[in-house]
Amino acid sequence: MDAPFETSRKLYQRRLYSYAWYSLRVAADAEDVVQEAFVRLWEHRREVEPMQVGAWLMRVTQNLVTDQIRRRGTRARDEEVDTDLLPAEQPAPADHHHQRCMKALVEECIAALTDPYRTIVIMREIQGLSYQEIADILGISLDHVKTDLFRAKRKLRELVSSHPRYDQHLLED
Amino acid sequence: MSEAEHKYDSACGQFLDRLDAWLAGEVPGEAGIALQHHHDNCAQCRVETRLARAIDGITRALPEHDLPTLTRQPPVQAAHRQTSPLGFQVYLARLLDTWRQPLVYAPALVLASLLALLLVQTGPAPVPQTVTVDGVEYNQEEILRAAADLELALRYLDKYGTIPARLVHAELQPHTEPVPNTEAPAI
Repeated sequence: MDAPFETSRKLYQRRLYSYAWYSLRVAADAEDVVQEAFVRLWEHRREVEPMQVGAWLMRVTQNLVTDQIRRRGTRARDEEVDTDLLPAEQPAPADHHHQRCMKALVEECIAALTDPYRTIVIMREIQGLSYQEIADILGISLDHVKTDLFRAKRKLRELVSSHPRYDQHLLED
Repeated sequence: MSEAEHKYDSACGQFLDRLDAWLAGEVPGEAGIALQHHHDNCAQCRVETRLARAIDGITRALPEHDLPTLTRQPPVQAAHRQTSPLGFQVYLARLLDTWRQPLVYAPALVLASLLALLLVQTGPAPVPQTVTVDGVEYNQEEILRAAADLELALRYLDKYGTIPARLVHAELQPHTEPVPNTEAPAI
């Protein structure tokens, strides 16, 4: 097995899968996307610069996720979500219930964002990438990243606050 | 009340436009002070700010996920299988998975050895026009062509993970008619 390829796989697999999962919210689809991304890396392994592998993989994964969403015809609906990956419904204090509800709502709305907003929110807020890393992956300027991130967060807030399951009381501690 | 329903005046509009940048500390100086002032004096904008902070807290606490299954075939094998759908291509692709399968290597070595024997001339003896392998007779041209095809197939498979159709169906065909002997000794 090609050693550099294996190194890349171990290094980036988790990041790619997380991105695909939060975008698609179906584990099997996310797995397929990641698998396909690494297959493509294998096919192009002699053409991709070693220092660019991470960014290359991320762009391929982003395109594959977009294709998957397009094939679905609509955003991931509640019934398509892997419910076994969501927090179990157990009797809990009210604040835990509120937190769980908000968490599920935010995850759903992240998946409902369009690109590039969804990508930037996942990379920055969930995966903790720096502005520069995001700029390198997406091929845009730092200022562009910041502008898009703030727009993305505003859009996310609009989606959450207009969601049928949202209630202001969910913000109460 | 959603942001869309929020009573929207120019001050609130400006506040909401810059809320996320302000929370990120990207609005310094007097502009930041002005936003703080509006926040302190607008109940609805305070609600929006609370929602923004709650969403930030939730997203930043979301974990990265690992691939849940280990049963999927490794990407390298998946790449080879994806490009070798059916029939002889599948057979040959499987044989060449690790590039060291003796079942493919051996015929190439045998043919290469035969070629070497044919090419080495130690004396006035003429180069044989035909070679018999396992009771089947082949002429030089056929052996050379088959060896070249096999080498090409191996290179193609290495590079692209598949074999061109022309080479898949290429076989070593024994001749059915005598090859004209252009060097027939004079009678």
